Amino acid sequence: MSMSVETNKATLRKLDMKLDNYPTCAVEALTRLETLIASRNKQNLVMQIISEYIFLERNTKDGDGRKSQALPISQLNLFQEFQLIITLIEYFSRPGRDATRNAIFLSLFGSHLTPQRSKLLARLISTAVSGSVAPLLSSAGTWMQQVGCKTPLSLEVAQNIVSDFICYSRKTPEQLKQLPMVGPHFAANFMVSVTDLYLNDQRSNILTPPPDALLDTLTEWMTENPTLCQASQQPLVLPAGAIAMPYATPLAGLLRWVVLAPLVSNRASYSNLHLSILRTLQQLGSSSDSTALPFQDLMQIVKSLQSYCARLAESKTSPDSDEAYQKCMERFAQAVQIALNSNCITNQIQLLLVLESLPSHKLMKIVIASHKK
Amino acid sequence: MLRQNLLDQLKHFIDTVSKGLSSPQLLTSPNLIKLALSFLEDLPATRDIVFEYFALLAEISVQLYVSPEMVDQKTGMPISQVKQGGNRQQQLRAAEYESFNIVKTALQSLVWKGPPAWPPLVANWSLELVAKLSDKYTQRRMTITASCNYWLECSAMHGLMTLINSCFRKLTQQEEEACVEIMLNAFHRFPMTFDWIVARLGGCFPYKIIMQILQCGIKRFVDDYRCHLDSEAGILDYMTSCHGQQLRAAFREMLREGFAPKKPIDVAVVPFLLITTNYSDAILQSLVNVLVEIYSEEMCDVIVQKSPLWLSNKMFADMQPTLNNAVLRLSEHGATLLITAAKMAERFVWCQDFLDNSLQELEQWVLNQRNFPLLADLAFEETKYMLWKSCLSTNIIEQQTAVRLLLVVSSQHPHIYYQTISQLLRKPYGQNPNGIGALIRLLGGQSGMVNFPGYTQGFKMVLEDITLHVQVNNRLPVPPGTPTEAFNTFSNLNILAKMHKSKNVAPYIKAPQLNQALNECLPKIIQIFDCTVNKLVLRMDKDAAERSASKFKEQQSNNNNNHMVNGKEYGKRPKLEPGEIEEEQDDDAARMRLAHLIVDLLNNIEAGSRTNVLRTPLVLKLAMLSVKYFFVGLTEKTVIRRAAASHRSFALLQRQCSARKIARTVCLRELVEGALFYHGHLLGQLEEYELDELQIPEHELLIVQNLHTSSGANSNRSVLHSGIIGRGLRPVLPNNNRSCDAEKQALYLKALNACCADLEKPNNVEGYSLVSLLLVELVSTDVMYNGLPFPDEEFSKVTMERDMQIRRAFITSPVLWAVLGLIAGHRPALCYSSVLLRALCATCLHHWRGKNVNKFQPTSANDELMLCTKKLLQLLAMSQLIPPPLTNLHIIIDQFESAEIALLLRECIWNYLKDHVPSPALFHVDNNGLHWRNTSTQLARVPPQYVDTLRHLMQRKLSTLGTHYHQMFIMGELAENSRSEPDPTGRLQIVELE
Repeated sequence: MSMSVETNKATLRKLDMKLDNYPTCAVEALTRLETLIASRNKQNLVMQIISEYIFLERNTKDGDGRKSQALPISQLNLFQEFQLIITLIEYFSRPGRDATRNAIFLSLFGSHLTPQRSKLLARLISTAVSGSVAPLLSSAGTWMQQVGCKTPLSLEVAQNIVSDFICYSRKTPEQLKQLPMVGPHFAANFMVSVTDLYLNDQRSNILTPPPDALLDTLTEWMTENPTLCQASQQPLVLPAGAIAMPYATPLAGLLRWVVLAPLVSNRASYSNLHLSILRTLQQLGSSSDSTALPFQDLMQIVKSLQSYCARLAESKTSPDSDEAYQKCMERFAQAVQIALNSNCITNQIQLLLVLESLPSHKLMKIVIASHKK
Repeated sequence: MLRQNLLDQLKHFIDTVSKGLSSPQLLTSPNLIKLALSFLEDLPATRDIVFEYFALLAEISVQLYVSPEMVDQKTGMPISQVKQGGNRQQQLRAAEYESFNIVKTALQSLVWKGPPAWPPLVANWSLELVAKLSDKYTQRRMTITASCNYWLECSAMHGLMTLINSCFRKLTQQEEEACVEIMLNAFHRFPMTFDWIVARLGGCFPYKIIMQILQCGIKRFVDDYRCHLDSEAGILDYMTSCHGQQLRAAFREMLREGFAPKKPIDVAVVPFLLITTNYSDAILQSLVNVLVEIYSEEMCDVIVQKSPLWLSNKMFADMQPTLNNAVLRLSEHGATLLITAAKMAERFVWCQDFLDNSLQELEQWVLNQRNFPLLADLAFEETKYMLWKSCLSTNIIEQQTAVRLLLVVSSQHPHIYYQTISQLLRKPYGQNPNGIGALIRLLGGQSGMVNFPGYTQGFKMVLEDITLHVQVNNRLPVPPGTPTEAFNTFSNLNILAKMHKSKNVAPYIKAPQLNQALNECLPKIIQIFDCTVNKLVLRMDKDAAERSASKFKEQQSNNNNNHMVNGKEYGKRPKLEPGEIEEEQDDDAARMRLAHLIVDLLNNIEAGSRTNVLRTPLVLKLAMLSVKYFFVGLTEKTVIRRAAASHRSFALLQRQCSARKIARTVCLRELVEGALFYHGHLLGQLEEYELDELQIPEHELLIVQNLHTSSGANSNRSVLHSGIIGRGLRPVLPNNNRSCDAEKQALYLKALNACCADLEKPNNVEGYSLVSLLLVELVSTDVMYNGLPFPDEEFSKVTMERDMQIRRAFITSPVLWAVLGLIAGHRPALCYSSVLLRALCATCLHHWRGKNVNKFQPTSANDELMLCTKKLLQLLAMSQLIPPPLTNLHIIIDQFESAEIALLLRECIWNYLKDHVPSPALFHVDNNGLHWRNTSTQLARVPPQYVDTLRHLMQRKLSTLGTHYHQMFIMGELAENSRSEPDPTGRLQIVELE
């Protein structure tokens, strides 16, 4: 095995893959990987080639690297990084099999990355969004699902996109607005991640509303692409033998935003978003898939509302007289009603019990009563 | 869908930049810059690399700035300053040099108008970049100001700083703190080259930065007490210029912690602050300002209590020497600090050391003519007042410190010296005798200083002030009884003058100098004296006039009862309020004391003596004032005071008169005139009240009275009433009820004597002769017949009227007799008054003869005529104008009848004087210059025709006059015989038998 690695490397070196000839060597390495990746028993070699020729990584202490388990350090400077990004985009833009591309992407960026690689990944995706590189975005969407949309890596990518296109941007760029068209799968997964970043009191103790531009963008996405939430349900194109990870829909996260929004903001966009969500839920009814709104996600909403009520109690305010709370409950009740109708909630009975424990609300009461039978 | 174009651009950009790293020309192409800027919007992922590219641009610019290539050959200035100049190559590169400007403008607009995420990003990036560049390209260590000037000249650096500044304005509180953090981190990394940036940017949030810098410094200090704090101090120093207030606030905060230490680091606060002050004057100044502001007694206790804690710091323990110079570096509150230390010096020895060292250093610097900030502080107006106050302190150390400081500043600012002297002179030192020590020390000047200002100006200043005070009464209401400034000043001057006389007491003052200085001020002193004395004289005259008026009224009302009503109203001034009177009396008493003081001073400085040059008007003025003072002195209430005042004036008069002839002339004239005309009432002159003629009732008019007399029984006589036409009869003089006051008269004579006496030539009678001549001038009303010779007795009828007037003068001014007596003692001065003697003799003769006409009248012993005759004879005898046997005539004259007296006066006195003209020629001058008439010699013997009348008359009354006869005739001849002949008795016998 190790022999073959050595020989392979030797052949690689013969082919003008000299490290000082960057990024040509990376291009060469990528084409080589295509063939190597097919055979499943050469994973080690693939990893070595990626590390050595693509990311120019070197163990801190050449020989003892493995023993000390230190993270390899990339020798790329910022310019080379961008050269690599361009190379990758060019590579992914070439016609080819989706499965191979996805496999290479997953090999390049696994689920455990050095900070440098994750930074590069974020830049790569951001550049792809800017350049509307559909194949790459598609691979990225697959990667997100495989890695998990709420893992730190995905969140980092999402955060980076938000800051690139929302925070540092005077107006939302067209590329971001058109993302659902260019890469619907990626867009859906991105939404899952991004909804986890904001209005989430499990991440930070206070409810941070999303930037206005982001909210507007997502609302627009939802209104113009009603099927966007189902995009993540597309089957993944994976190399043979790979197991597809379960998909996640952004509906639960978006619903949390909409329900909790009255507590921190009263923007009109939330109402629009709410409507889109309700519509989507309604459509889901026909597809009869009961995983759109997982019970855990709904519990998160309930917990946030409970802690809010606790604070209200501290300041001696009745939830009945609190307008924000009433609005929250109203939206929540509407969504629950439709979701129950379309049968896309797991653990329905448990949910109804939990909902009853919340301070009572007229509409919610009716909803609960009608479903308890 | 794919944005190929954008990706191509990116590729192009990356290729160009990574290739062009060594070629600035490629990098700075405007197209590339524009592309990069467009990426910020279109390709946000490239933000980092774009900024890296911008950093490259900035570095290119800085490189060019520091490289000698871009220096203008002619001026040596960087090319940025001379836009059009420079050779071709330089112009080519100017574009590269300026390339960063495009970036700066774009970023600035992003910061201002773009989303809020930009400012922190740009700020951090710029900070890092500036730090890196300044660290990389600083070639040598510069001061903060120099660094600022140097780097801000560079367009890229300037651009970056502008960017940072505009970013800072956009930051939120949290972001601000993050930025401060970044700044300080950078500062830690490059403490040598980043300080100017901190100082420059610190202005955006001064308090935070100052506090942080101080905290950084103290941490380093705690870790290693020998560390260098140049950068920290430099930053603080630089920021002080604009943000002194924040620095002081920070100091206040730190001191609060330092004085009440809670954390271990607090113990180091005070040592740290003190060490920091060594680096910069501005910091020191701020710290002192804070200290002065918060200082209190309690704080002092706290310091004492806590200082052992600080001593554990090695640096602090060795610090004192450096502290000594500290005070010299203050341009504010330095004096306050020193005075505060002086106040405590009694309690703490270290304060004394501190003071000693500081002051020595200070004086040393002044001696070396070095300039230092403390001088400016000392020259402040407020400081001046504070030091003056301290000069009066009872705390000796405080007082001396203040004096030394004043001396130091005086060497540079003479006016302060003058003002100080002027101020200190006018303060009272009765309560605090040590206070005058300050003055004495001050007058001593700064030893070793060349061109130290003299104190004459100071004297002049205070005297000028006092002149105003004296001239204008009651400018400010003062509580009664407080000594006036004038009084204080003169009493202080007196003390000084007296001290210098007793030389060993005041080694500080060079004796002749003080005297000279005061003599230079003599015109001013005399002016004050003039004012004071004249007011006193006016007051005295007014009192006298009032008194005599009331007396006269009383008398007149006794004479004529019908005048009672009128009399009461007449001549009275409206009564003053009692309070006012009292006040006026107070004023007068104060003025009198002042006059005494002034004269004392004049005596102490020997004013008017020959050694000092004086202008004639001044001499005259001083002379006149001296005499006036003498007269005023006579009005003092008690004998002792009168005597004291008189003695003062004697000394004054004597010194002037023996120094200058003109002074003597004036003094004598004033004295005599004063006694006769102006201030006669003091010496028992009989007042003649000037009555308004309209007050005389018609029947009393002189003409009516005389008409009555010329009719009736006495009409055969041509006796007329004497009086003044229009005023009726002469009022009857209030005879004898007010005799001349012997004490005052004695004082007066002493004054005359003081004027006349010549200390060098004791027998010089010039002065007395002068008095004699003056008397003639003032008493005799006629210019004719004022010569020395006595004419025939018959001729005296011609001058009788004048003679009568002279006689009257003697009656109204009895002091004349005394004066003549004085003169008589100093032969031959009386000769010049011959005319007066003649007049007296003639009138007496006439009067005695007149008595014959009527029936016999026994002459009473106190009769005016008899007294006059006696006195005249006494005078003649005293002045040796009549020879021996006649010299005793005044003793026995009252034994004779009036006819006999008339005979004696005519035969013995008049005839003798007629034949022996009373002139200085009669006198012989001996070796000592003494005039003497040796009447016992043969030549001077009295021819018998002048004596025989007396002899016969006496022989007729031998029973009563026996002893006198023996003494006058026999003894004299006996003595003469014993001297000239072997058998004097025989000769005597013969005479006797004849």
